[in-house]
This record gives sequence, structure tokens and C-alpha cells, in this order.
Amino acid sequence: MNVVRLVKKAKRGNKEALLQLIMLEQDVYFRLAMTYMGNTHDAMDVMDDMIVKVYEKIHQLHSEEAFYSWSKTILVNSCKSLLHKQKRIVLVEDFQAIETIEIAESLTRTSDPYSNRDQHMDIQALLLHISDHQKEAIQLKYLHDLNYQTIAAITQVSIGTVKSRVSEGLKKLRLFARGDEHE
Amino acid sequence: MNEVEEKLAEQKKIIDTMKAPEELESRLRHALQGAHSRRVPCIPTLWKIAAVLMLVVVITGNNYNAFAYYGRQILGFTNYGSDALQQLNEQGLGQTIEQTYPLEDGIDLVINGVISDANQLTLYYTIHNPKGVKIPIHNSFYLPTRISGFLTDSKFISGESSDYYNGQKEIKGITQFDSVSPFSKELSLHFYQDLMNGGRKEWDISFPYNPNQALRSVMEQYLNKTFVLDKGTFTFDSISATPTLTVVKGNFKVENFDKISTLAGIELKANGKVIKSGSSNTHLSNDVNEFNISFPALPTPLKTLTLELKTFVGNQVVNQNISLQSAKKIFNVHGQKLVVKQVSTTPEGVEVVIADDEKVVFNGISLVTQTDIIPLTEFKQKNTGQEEGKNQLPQTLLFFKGATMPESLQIKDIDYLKNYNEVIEVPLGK
Repeated sequence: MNVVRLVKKAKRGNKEALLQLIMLEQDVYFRLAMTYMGNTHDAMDVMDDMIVKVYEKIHQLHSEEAFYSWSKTILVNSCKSLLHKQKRIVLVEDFQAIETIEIAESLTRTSDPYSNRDQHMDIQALLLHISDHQKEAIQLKYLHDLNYQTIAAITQVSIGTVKSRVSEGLKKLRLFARGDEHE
Repeated sequence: MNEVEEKLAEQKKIIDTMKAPEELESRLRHALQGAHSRRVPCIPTLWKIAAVLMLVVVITGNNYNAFAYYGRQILGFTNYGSDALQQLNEQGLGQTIEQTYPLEDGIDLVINGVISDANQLTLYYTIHNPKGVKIPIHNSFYLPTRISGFLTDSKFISGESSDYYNGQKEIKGITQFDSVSPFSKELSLHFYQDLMNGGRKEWDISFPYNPNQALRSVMEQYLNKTFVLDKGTFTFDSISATPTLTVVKGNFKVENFDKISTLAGIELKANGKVIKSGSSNTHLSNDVNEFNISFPALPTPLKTLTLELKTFVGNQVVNQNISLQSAKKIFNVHGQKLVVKQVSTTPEGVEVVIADDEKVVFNGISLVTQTDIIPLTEFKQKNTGQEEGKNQLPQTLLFFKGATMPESLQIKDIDYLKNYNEVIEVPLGK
């Protein structure tokens, strides 16, 4: 069934249609939630929160095609508000500790989990060198394949700002990556 | 692709392998169960449009001119209008406008402000000559006719203007109109200006109006009380009291109203005191006379309010003979005075001059002669009874063609101002 029809049904209050829409992209949502929350438990919590908010507000959505980018914005907002509530900063150490277990759990199909994990930690360590905003923009763009427009909506800034955050962040990352090599 | 982007791409691959836990669906379904849609029910398009229009009106309306007008006295008009109006102006309950419009002959009309409520609109104006030339006394610069606006077409009711101020260079006045619609944001004042060259110019000037500043009504009471009169029925429909005026509305369908056309017998009493009526008017629609009578604003606190139909035209069958031969000249016809002033016989017939109260009309008059009964041929008013400073009864000449040797006048019935004394206690709401 096509997305637009499902969105229209969901707008009329059909809960099953909404669930179907979310389940069609469940992995995408989950990965996004994981990026912010860092653990499955919180990621599932924010997804619960997201689906309720989406259901309550879907009548405000004007363009059915925009459902996914719109709902992702809601998801990210849920993530941020939960993080704010927990007043928790996900430090790289914690992140690694949690991620090591969780990523390992989820990477069932990866042939060489350890090298991948190294790679993963490597980039996470690098990302610590840049600002949270730049990090967020780069993660959303490169790890979640979101376009600038969606990122702008999610992070509530202009497309220009997103572009500059990405390019500035990348510039810094390159600098630090080179520095790492020289060490 | 540089190193960083490669690393990111590799990381993406890892993340892409990440799968949502299987229990996600059941969790989400559970979360959704308790959710309530805040979706508003589907509203038909027409209603949406109406709602949006209303919203636009409300928003633009409220932001329109509320600030400029609030709580300022319209200055220079301390002695104009009724006491109630003067007080309201002193309390700053009017809307100041202070806009100047140049007219012909070098004269300016300033609209100083308005005080408006559900019964009337009072407009305060000043006419002055900016060049300081004396205003010639006999010219009428401002002859108002009406006020128009959105859903508004209000007739001119009355006006009052000052003597000349500032050494004959300024005239101040107020003009009262029927009430304007609460939906009007701008009003147009229509008036004529008599020009110095003898011509007359029609003007139509617009000024802003803020219906939010209209004064609240004190009371609006539907009465719907009908009385049966001798020749028809009389109904009090409603009474509406605002801070500036009290208006009683009603209607009557009375055959003989044209004989004695007065509404003066309608009395309004507040706290036991009679309130003197101002203007009244009637208009005929579908055989029914609709009327409204204006009274001044009601006193506060208001304890009792009664509306009375004290007198109104009545009719009485009398079948009375008035002797023209006796020495007695003054007769009582059902309590009404009739004086026989003169009886004369001419070659054409008989002329009888009678004097009677203007509040009585004798009907079915015939002349009884020795041989015959001759109906009235014609009658004419001889005088109004008011000349030469003497308060005499008005005289009427009755002519009976071809009659001779008159003996008496026969009167079938009379229309007169009858005491009905019907009283309504107007219920006073909270």
C-alpha cells in the first residue's frame, strides 16, 4: 500500500495505518534513535513517545509525502527531550561501553564485528573533537542519509546553517584525522 | 572520497545493519492504544471559510483603532446633549476622532468624536474658519441627513448647535442619528452645505468608528403586551435602555388613529417618576402602525419601571341630539364639550358653527329639521382656537346643503382621547 494512502488513513485516526507506516521504516527510526540515545532501552522509549506524538499531531501534517521527514523530526525532538530530562551527556566512554555490547548484539550479520567496532569507535572518537551541532549534522547526513532539508527541519535551523555545520565539521574532522595519523 | 568520509561511510554500513528489536511493533501498538487523536472533527468547508472570515474580522477589528479612542473626553462639549450624555462624555466614554475635513468657502468641519450605543449615535462636531474670518450667521454649513457604513444606514434624528464661539469664528454642535451597526468600522456622514453663492453642495465624508467602544445596553426587555382598544389593538413590543437613550417600541392597529393621532398618552415612569418623552415616530406597514418613542436615559439605581398607556384614541357611540333652538349653547357629549356658536340659514342651506375640543371628533352628524334629517355636506376648520393669544376652542363650520329650519344636530358617535390607564410593570433583570 502506498505511503500517501496510509498517511491519509492515519490522518483520519486509523492507528493501524500509522503503525504500518512506522513499521515500514522501523529500522531507520531505530537507528536514528540509537544515534541519540545510545541504548536500545531509551531508543524504544523515545519511539513509543514518537508514535503517540505523531498520532496526536498528524492532522497538522499538510503534505502526506513529508510524513517520514516530519516524523523523524518528532523522533529527534523526543530524543532530545528525554536526554534533557535525564540530564545526561553521553560520553564517549559510556557510549563505547554500551555500544560495544549493543552493537555487537545487533551486528549479527557482520563478518568481522571487531574490526567494524574499531572503525566505529574510531569515528566516534573523532566526532568528539567537533561541536555537538556539527556532530549531529554530520551524523544525520552521513550515517542516516538524510537530506539537508530534513536535517534543517530536525535541528530547527536553516539549510544554510546545516550545510555550513557539515562542511565546517568535516573540515575539522579531516584536520584531526590527519593529526591522528601523525601521532 | 577522503579519509573522514570513508570512515563515515563505513560507520554507516555498520549502522545500516542495525535492526530494530522484534518487540518494537508490539510496544508501539501498546503505546498507541492509549493515544487520543487531537484531530478536530471534519468541518464543512463553508464553515471553515466563515470561521476564517470571522477571525479576520475579529483580529483586524480589534487592532484597528482601539488605542486612539479609549477613555478620552471629547473636549469642548460640556453643555451639549442630555444630562446623561454630558456625564458619559465627562467620564471619557466617548470615542474621540478629531479629524478635520475642509469644506467649501474656506470652512473646516471637525468631527470631534462620537458616543454610540444600541439606540443612537451622537456625533460631536465643530465648524470653524481656519483663516479666522467670521462665519456669516445665516448660512447653514452643515445639514446632516444620515450616516452610512457596513450594515448601517442611520437616519438623522436631531441636532443641537451652539452660538458662535471665538468671536463668531466657530460653531460647535452635536447631531444624533439612529444607532449604527456593531459591524461598521468606518462610517460616512452625509450632509449638505449651503454655499455662500446660494448653491448647495452634497458631502459624504468618512471617519473611523470603533464598535468596541459603543456603550453597553442597560436593559433590553421584550414586553409583547397587547391591549384591546375600542377600535383595534395596541401592543408594547419592547423597551431598550442604553446609557444615552431609552426607546419603547410597539405597534397598533387602530381604525380611528387618524382622527386623534397622538402617542402622548404613553408614559414611562422610573422609580415612580414620569420620564418626559422625547421624540416619537410611527410608520405604517401592512396596515399596522409601528411606533417608537424615545425617552431620556433611565436613572440609576433603577428600582421600578412602569410603562403606561394612559390615553389613546377611543370611540363611543352616543346617538345624541344637540338642540339648536334652546338657549343652552354648551353641551356635554360623553364628557366632551361642544359649543354651538352660530346657526345661520342661507339660500344654499344651513351653516352651523361649533366649537369643540381638538381631542374629540364628532361623527355621523346630521341636521334634524322640521321635515327631514339631512346628512352633513361638508365641514371646514374655521380656526385653530389659538389666535389672538386667546386659548379658545377650535371652531368648525358644518354645512348642510338644501336644509331649512334647523332644529337639532344629531351625533352618532365620537372619537376622543380616552383614558385606558393600562399599566405594565417592566421586569428589571439582573
